[in-house]
Amino acid sequence: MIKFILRRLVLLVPVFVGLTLLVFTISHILPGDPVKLAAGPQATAEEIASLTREFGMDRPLPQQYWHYATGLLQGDWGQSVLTRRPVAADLKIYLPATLELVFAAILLAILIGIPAGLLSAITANRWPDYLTRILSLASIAMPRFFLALVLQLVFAMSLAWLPLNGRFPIIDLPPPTVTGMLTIDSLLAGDWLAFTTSCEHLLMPALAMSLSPLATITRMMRASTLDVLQQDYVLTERALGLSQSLIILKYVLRNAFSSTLTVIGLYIGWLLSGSVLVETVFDWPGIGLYATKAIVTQDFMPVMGVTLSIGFIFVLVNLVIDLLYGVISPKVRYQ
Amino acid sequence: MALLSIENLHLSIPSFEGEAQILNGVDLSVERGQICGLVGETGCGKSLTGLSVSKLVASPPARYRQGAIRFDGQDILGLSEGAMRALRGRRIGMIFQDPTTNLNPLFRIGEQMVDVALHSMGANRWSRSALSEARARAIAMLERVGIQDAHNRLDDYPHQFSGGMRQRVLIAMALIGRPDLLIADEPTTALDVSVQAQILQLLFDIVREDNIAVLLITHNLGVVARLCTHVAVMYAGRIIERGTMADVFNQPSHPYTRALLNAVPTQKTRKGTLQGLGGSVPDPYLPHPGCRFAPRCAIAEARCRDAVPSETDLGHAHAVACIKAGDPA
Repeated sequence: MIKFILRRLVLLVPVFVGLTLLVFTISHILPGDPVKLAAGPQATAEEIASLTREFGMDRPLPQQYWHYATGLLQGDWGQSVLTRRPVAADLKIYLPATLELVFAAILLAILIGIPAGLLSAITANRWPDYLTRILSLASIAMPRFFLALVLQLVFAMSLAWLPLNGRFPIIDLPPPTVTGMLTIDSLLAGDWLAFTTSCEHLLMPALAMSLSPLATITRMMRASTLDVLQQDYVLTERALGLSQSLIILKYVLRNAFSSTLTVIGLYIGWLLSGSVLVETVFDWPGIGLYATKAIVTQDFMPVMGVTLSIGFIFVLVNLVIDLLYGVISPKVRYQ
Repeated sequence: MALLSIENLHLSIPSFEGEAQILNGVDLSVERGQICGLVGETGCGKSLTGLSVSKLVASPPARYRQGAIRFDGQDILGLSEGAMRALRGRRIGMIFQDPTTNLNPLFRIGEQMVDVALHSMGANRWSRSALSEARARAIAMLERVGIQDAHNRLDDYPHQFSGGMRQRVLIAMALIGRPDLLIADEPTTALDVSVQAQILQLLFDIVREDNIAVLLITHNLGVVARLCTHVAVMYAGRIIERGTMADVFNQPSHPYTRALLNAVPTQKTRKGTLQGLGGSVPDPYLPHPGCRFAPRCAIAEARCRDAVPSETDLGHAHAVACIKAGDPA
């Protein structure tokens, strides 16, 4: 077990070397000059030259890469040309916000999608099944930002049940930062009011984001449950008198869930990199917004920081998923 | 009154090509202490007969057009799912063909056995004493089917057992509720020949000790000859000959039974003299009138194609569905 984890962690090293090389190369061969953009239209040639020197961009590329890579190892993720802020400090603020959103979305998708898929499978080709199938098809087809706008219109504007946007009211006191995720931090601080406030803000963006994984999980769960229901062991379980609810909720559920697990892992990565639309609509201060601002000004360092952290989390999440396989399936565990 | 009696059972299953006539008047009875072999070629309806006894054929879409299944006087086909579940695992046990696919791969065998034991005891799942009682029964049953160190093996997963061992576990599971009737559907077909004999002997010993009625579904006449007290031969959804093992094997009266027995190679069979049976099973969608076996039958006459032959009683519960059975040979 520990050997397995260590081996997987060692495999992370080449993945990251490759990732940094790729991102670094792509961002540096793009046309345009970030320094010129940062310096503004009135900047003189000398000012631009001195800025270029300051950011080390006059040096040859391999040397810049080396400087960047060794910096990473020491926790220095570079500096934004535009804001002059260190990228690491920015990520510490923006990354937890996006993570909170993504995890909440995937949690919603799992909590609703798994029962919906099960229900759909055991009522196959009857009306609950038709209903879930139509709903999941519709939610895959609907663009996330559009749903986000509809949610805002209904729950914030018309009903006024939930705040329109933002992550936490400016006038309120946020909980002390531990993880950077407001819901968890407020729980850790025992601040019930802050917890409900942050949940209220989190609910709509998480819902908008969860829609497409929710639909996929539902359909995956339906397909794999139908498959498992055809297995010989289910017939044996029925033939020996086990109740339908015990068979479905205990035996079939675990078998069907293992194939859905893969999709969940992939979706976390997909949501991380695709969070920008939802973040824009809800004004959610996450890495999606951060990266977009950096991209339009060709500010490389934040872009690289965001890419690397998404890559890192994606690989880590899939390691956890692989370990979960071991929890679910004894065969994986023993190999 | 027989423990299990199937009377004139007709079953059809709709499909894209029409309504498949799967069972066409199955008559069969099994008494306590009898081991009844149900033989016939693939697709003749043996397995669906067995599944019907436990009401495990999804209906609809399948449709029982006629007939009845009586278990200990109860009309099985009329029972609700709840009432049927009270019989499954408690009074009727089942074993299936492939031990590699009939145990849930993600659960310890102990967990699966305990759940079946709890059901058979009718006990509350959350009661601690019931749980330990169920576990004790599982251990005792595993020991009885010859699994060494049963206490520890309860915590193993199915893939840690060999095929033969898994079938032993499945036998233990089927018998843990001390059923009166055991339906064994090809229990040794998926096993190595050397293991087959052990499993059959084990099965034979246990059902004899507990005086269990057994319906043994197989296409292997050798298995029938070794184990069974009674035989029913099935062809195209109908029992065409039934009786005691000795009667049917020594005086086969239906041409199909004779053809089956002739097709078994023995030590005396010379090279090139093995006899098969020409032709193939009749179309279940468009059954022709008359005896279903007539198109493949060596002694068929014109009258065989006119009407379905009824059963002729040859005495000693030996019956045959052939209009020529009474004729002098």
